[in-house]
Amino acid sequence: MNGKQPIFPRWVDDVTRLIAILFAGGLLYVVVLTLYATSPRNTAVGYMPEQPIPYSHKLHVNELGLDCRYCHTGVETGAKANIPPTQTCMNCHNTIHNQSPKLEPLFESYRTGKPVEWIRVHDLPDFVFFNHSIHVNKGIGCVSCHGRVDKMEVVYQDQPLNMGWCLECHRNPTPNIRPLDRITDLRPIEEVLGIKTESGIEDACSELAAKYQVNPKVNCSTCHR
Amino acid sequence: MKNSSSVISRKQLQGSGRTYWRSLNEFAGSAEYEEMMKREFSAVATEAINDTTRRDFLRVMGASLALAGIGISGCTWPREKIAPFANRPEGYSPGTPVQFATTMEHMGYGTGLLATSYDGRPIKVDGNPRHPASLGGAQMLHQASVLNVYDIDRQKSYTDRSSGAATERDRSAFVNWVANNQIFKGRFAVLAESSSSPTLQSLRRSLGDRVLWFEYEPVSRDNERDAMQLLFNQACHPVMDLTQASVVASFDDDFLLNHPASVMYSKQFAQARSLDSGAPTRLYCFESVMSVTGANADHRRPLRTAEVGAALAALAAEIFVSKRHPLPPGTENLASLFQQYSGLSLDASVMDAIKLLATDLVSLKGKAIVTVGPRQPAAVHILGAMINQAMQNTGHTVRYVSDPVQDRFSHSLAFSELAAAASREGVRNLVILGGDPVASAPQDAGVEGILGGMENIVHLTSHANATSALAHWVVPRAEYLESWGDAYAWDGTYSVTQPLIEPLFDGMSPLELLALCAGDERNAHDIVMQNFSELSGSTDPERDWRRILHEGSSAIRLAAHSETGNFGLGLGPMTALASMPATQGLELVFLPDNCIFDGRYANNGWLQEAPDPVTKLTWDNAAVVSFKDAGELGLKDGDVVKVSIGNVSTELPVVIQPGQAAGSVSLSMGYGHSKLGRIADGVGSDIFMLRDSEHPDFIPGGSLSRTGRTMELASVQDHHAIDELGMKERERRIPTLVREADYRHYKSSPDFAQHMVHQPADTQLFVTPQFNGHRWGMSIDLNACTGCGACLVACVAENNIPVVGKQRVLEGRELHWVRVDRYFSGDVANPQSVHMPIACQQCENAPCEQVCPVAATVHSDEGLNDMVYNRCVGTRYCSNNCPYKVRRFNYFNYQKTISDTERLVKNPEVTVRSRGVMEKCTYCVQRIQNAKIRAKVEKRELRDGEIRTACQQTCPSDAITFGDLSGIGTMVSQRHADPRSYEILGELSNRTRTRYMARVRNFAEGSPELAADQARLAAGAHGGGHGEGHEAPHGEDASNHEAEH
Repeated sequence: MNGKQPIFPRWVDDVTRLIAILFAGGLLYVVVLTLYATSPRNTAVGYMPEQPIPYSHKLHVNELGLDCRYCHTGVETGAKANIPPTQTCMNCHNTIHNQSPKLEPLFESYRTGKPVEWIRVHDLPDFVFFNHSIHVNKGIGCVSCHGRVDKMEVVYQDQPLNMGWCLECHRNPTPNIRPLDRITDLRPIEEVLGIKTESGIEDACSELAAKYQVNPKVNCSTCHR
Repeated sequence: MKNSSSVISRKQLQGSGRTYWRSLNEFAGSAEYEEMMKREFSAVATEAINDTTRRDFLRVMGASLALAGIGISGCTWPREKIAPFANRPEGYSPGTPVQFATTMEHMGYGTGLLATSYDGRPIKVDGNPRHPASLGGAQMLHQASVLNVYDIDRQKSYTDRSSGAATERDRSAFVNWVANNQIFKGRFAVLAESSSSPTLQSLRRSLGDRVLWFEYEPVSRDNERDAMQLLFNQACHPVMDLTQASVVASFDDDFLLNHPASVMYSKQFAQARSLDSGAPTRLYCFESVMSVTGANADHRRPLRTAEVGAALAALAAEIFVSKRHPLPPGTENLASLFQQYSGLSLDASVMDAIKLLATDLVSLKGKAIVTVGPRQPAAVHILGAMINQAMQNTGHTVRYVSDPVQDRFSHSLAFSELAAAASREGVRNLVILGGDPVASAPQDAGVEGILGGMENIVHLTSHANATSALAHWVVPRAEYLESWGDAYAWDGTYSVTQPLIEPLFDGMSPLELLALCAGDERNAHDIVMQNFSELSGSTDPERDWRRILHEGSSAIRLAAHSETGNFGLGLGPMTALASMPATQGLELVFLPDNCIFDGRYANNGWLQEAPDPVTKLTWDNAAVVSFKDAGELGLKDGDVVKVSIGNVSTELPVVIQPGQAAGSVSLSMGYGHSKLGRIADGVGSDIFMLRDSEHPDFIPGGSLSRTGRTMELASVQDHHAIDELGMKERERRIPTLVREADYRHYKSSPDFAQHMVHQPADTQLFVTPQFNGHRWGMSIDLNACTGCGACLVACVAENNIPVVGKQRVLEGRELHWVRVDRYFSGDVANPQSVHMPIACQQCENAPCEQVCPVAATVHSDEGLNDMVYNRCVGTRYCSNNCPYKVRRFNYFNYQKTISDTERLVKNPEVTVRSRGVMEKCTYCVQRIQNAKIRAKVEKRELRDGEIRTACQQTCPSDAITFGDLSGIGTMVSQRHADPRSYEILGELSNRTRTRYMARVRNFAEGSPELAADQARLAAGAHGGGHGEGHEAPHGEDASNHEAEH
């Protein structure tokens, strides 16, 4: 009886090892999953696909001073802001840069009547029913969701556009409110309002929110139908 | 307990019949029904589960794990493209639905519709409120017509058999063939479907003598036309104004569903039945087959179709002989005939009703209507018109409008005249505009022979069928949503059909094909427009054309016909009514199907799956027999019988229908296809071959014999059966679900419905929800609801509800968000019926929400019971806990198997649900949200009535009201405050947002129905007015309602 009899049978070692491996694996799984789910790749922040025409918002908005609504005509009245038809581009490009090889897909579309196939950047899931008009008419500016498009050579996704992000604003919209006549102004709110103090900005935004009767809902059926 | 019929008779003899029941199986407690109750799921469902072995399970799980692996690596957004217009039409905003006014023809007359287009594809059809024949309502088949556009089994190419073997060609090949061929330069015949299109007729006139015109449809109203032709020397038809009538007597006329003006009549009937203007219009109905109209009658008497004429003759005798009512001028020659009519020996209960009706007609001169159905021979129509004339109804409640096509042969003569023209004048070229005459013509018409003698047959058809197999050219037909056209409505209103989409399969409309044959080179738009400006005689045709396209109707009307008919001429035909029709064997009645009509919509899944409003049968037709005949022949539901007449026969399953006349078997048309399309094929049995030229509508001398086989019928009426305890409780509660009373009782206690069940004190287990903003609510008026089922199909179209198929319906897995429950009460041979549409009741204290483990169903602050598909894990606890059984579970991913073409019909405003989630009525939340957004953007308040749910919008009888309960004076809050308003299962304190309004009948003084109702109320008098007491009322209520028998 001097040979020490192990308390547990030998196979317990295997089980212990297995449990350890499973535990470590599980931990790794959770870490990877968390990192993956929150990575910009997943939320698509910074998603910047190459477009058929290297259209520069920076040039058109910042340097030429086009208003967003010149092209995105549906934004105040409809659910969709709309990508402009070829005709809109050709209003100017009939005479300006009308030989540019970069614009060839545009000219081809104009000749053939076939659409230019742009790649969608801001893509919400199909079970989300987003409406531009209600946001724009309640004082939520373009910049809140689309970022400084006036500084983008190529358009990319600026905000995560996930549900938590939507709800943040639906619960407290005030910081994102701007005057309706400056809705397409992409500058920061302090520059738009010309107010320096934080409390001043807050007061001004709250006043606007009250004026526009901003009362966003957080019901499921507000966005999911 | 093998035979449900014998069980019923025994129970009846014992006088233990229940007050209300849903189906005969339930009534009788048949063995199958009890078996069904014992198993939680139907047999097919559990067997399917047991079939899966452990090994299968592992295999499936392994596969899904492997797929999950692929999924994670490929878990990125799909790259989507945006393709804007090169040149966007002015005023067009992508993603914004637009409505266009158009017109759909049905049974030869138009109904004005508004079709919704989403980015260029029609997705929804509703009634046009500015069109007098639809007034904003639409029936099932109008709603479902949008699906026909995306039917992938349609004829897609121009099949050319002109030189032997069939080759698939395109449109230009056909156009060239027509142009290069001399055949349309000479004489040719056209066999058209019923159509009121004046443009089609003007094209026909432009062809002059070159064209011989015939019309044929298996369901025809030409008996009526023949009668009117005789009386008025002109083809015309009666148009009723039900709102002006206090009494309506229908002799086999289903004007609430199977009628070209059924939407208009449903609207009028609902108005006439409303209690705002005194007593509801009393409806008598004499018919063999329980129709939607019959189901809404105060006094319905089942009798064989052949005897309906005798019943009307007995009415004439009662009025002109017994009551000595003077005959109108010019009809004195009929006096002796009416004397003979008094000798008719009808069933005593029928005679009682006839006497009551005669009293009503005589006392309510000018305020009644006698209407006769299309199956009845011309003599019955003549007599009906004559009674209307004598009772001064003509000119007040009935007017006559000229038929749109005067110079044509009656449908019953189409084939004999066509054969005559072929042999007499050597016509060898035939254009068939739609339909399938080879299959649908009476068996002795010899259509195949006639067609065989033709040298060239061009067949315009939506689907390849028996007729197109004989045609030399088969031309794909464009749907009405794809083509220009025009039509007159039954009331005479002219309107235009405008297309919403280019023909998907490059088809032609009848108009285009005829124009091509006529060598008319204008396009269809120009032809219709130019014909319109000729009709309107307008000084500014451009402006008027734009206006009619916008409004959908115009001031152009068919001529009214105000001359008095020459009723003396009716003596000859009416003599046939002087003797009772011989009773030999069973009478077979051929009906257009309540859902798929004559079979032209057989490949429409929405209609196939919609339960028949009366039998509640989906996906099949049946031999509908009376309870008495079934007892004598030893038949029960689902027995397959051989239906024979002479030496032709077909086999169908039996459905025993309460209210079906003894001696009469009804068979609905349009089923039994084998090569029409993937929906239609193999569903039901063809019955066209039973008809002959003499008897296209009903035929005596038929017989049924058992084949020994049985078939499962997908009837939705017995779904949601639970165990015996639950059954008993449900039975006890049925009278408290559908509440009704006679008008007299309603006058003395208008709030009777609120005292039919004891409402316990509203003690809440959970925090009582508070609602400050909008409070959405709905009211459904059972007094207006006819049970037609339009709401159900409208909901399918609006909410992307998939078609699940017969097998799944058998398993109780249909996905309809609205169901229309049908309850019978009283005598099983001639019951009263009530229809009750049930969707999610949107309880404020929703039982479903308390049991959901993942908060997938939660309340919105406007009181909607939101369903969050993404959270749902499919435990189905919510459905278990729902007392109304309105939740539906997606067992399969039905959206996955459909083609891209079929996907085009989906409403982009509503999530397309996948497998494994629960779904249910949302009060059309997408419409609520969009209307709210619209109002806010326009900086105004929401208007009452601005938001209309899909079911409300289509309802042909305006039974459904939706709106904001917190709004002052809104329609829905007024209706909720009405004394008739009640909550179903209110004793559960669910605080439902949908409330019902009790049904009020208007029985004739001295009728057995009134006596029964008063007996019920007298027995219930001591149970009424229960206040605080807790024990008594429940039990009492139950016994009271059982005491009716």
